[in-house]
Amino acid sequence: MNQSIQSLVRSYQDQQLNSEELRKLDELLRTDANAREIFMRETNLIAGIEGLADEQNLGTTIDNLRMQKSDISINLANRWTMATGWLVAAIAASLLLAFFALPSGRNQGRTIATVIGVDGPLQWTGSGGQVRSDLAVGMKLPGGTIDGVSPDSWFSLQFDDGSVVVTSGNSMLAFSDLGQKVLHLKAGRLSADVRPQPDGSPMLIHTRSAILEIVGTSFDIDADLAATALNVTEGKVRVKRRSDGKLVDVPAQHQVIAAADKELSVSQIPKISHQWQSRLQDGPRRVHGRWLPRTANQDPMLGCLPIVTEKNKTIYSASFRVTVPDAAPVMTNRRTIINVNGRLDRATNLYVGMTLKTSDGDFAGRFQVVLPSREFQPDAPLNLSLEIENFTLDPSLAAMEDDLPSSASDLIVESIWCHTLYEQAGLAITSVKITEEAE
Amino acid sequence: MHVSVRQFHPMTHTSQLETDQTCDRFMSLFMGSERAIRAYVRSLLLSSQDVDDLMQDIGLKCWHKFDQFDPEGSALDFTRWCCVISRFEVLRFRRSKARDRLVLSDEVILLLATDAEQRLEQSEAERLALRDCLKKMPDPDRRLLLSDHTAGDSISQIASESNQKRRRLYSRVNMLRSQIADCVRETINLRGTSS
Repeated sequence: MNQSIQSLVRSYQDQQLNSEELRKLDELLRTDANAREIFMRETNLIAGIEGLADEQNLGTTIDNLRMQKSDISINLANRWTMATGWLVAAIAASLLLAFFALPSGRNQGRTIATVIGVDGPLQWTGSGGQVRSDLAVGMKLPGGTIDGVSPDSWFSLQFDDGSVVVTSGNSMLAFSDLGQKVLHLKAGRLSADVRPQPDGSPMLIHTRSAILEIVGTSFDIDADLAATALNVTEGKVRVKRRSDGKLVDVPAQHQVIAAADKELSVSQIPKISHQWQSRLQDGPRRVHGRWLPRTANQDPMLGCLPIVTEKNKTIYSASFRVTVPDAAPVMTNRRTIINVNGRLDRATNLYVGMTLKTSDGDFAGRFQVVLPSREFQPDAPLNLSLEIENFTLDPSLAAMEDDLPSSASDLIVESIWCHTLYEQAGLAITSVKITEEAE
Repeated sequence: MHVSVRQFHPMTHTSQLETDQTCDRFMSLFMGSERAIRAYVRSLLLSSQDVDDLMQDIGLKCWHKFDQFDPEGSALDFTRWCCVISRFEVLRFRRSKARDRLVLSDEVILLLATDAEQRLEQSEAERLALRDCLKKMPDPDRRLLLSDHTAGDSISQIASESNQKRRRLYSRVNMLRSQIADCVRETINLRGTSS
């Protein structure tokens, strides 16, 4: 009996149990104190072995340091200081935040909007230079600037009249409401669902290349330095191009791109596509990462850039914008396959995911596949073919689970990203493709 | 700026010096308990990577609540106190990860957490015994047992170096685990008899 429990526990720790065996182990542990004691002994043994291996790893690092510089004297106590260094740093950061990052009641102005959704690293700068990076749902804000720090940042704000704006990815949005809502989208993507605005005071959205006047409607905007692309889902938006003052009205299911070097013409939103392919050979366009050009023996690649998450952890990420305003939206279906090619220098857990939205432009979550390190060989080429049904909701969005679709199918793909955690593992992507499995 | 600290930080009415002293005391206690807390958390989570993910949050959570810890409390009291905090962090973490893979039910995890809190001293004794047992193990066996958790080493590497089949080495690791578990039990029994 004890052996059978021990064997189940080991298989559990090695993540080798099937669902039936797991159910059996769960039942045993729920009803049998002796089984729990065996479980404890086994897991404590594994924890001890892992701990000793960690100490050995740290010892090797220290020995190497000693060899490089013999006057460095590091004793066992220092090892623990090194091992716990993250905590010292985190506490120092927490004290600093407490000192500098939180607005005092005295400075807090009238609030105009409430945070209704937040995910990924974000920073809010308020009047007087207050800075917060601990935004949470329910927090009331008095205007200011929201900075999406990473490609997976996402932020949803509801004004007091019920109008909702959502930014995603590396976006920067300044917002105010002094009787008229005025937004400045300095970069990135914004979608909005705007309640009817007071007569003579439409919501104004300024970008570098256009001014949008909104009376009440749903739309998406994508702004970069040179152009602003607008997709209108419902209602009508008036667009004024900054370069020449030209005006156009954009009705529902239509789009326009406002750029100095392009005709300001309104066209129908293109029909959806189910296929897409990255084009790194065209340069670092609509990607986030370190672009490496083609060489004699290597295709162009997108390497990872470090991003510090809202929990002060570093991830190494590369991402591709998929649905862009001047092309058909790319939609998943049950037959969608995501192909990722590239390289991974060191075996580590690899996260491949998609940021999705509904056809109305609402945020639909991030869905991901986590590929365990054991599936990779160091320096071997990376050739992944991932079926849509294997993508599951990013656990960090669990609190919003009820409001988000339950699967990644039948949604618009905003971006595809790949990342590794904590250490640079040499992940670089040569191509990403969305295809459909043959019926 | 100090007003903000008074509003938001748990150590609200202390001077900077007192804050520094509190921080030193916390660090000292936490460093002394970290191994035990880590092992406790490890017994409730499926992988050491999950533990790595969570330990930083646990450390910060304990720090933020440190003003609630009895100033007269012992190191063992501190470990227990941290374990109770960790229990909730583990449950929260598990819920966010539950969809990813096969895991035990929350009910079982709570039972295990309660048991683990009651056997903290026993667990520490097991870890000390493990250290001694590993020392007695021949070098190749010790390397094999630790290889899966050692940076730059792996069972595959040992297999290719020694020209042995990986499957055979995995069986050997399993056998070594049983051997070392027996050694830990015997060492503890021996210490219990001799003390």
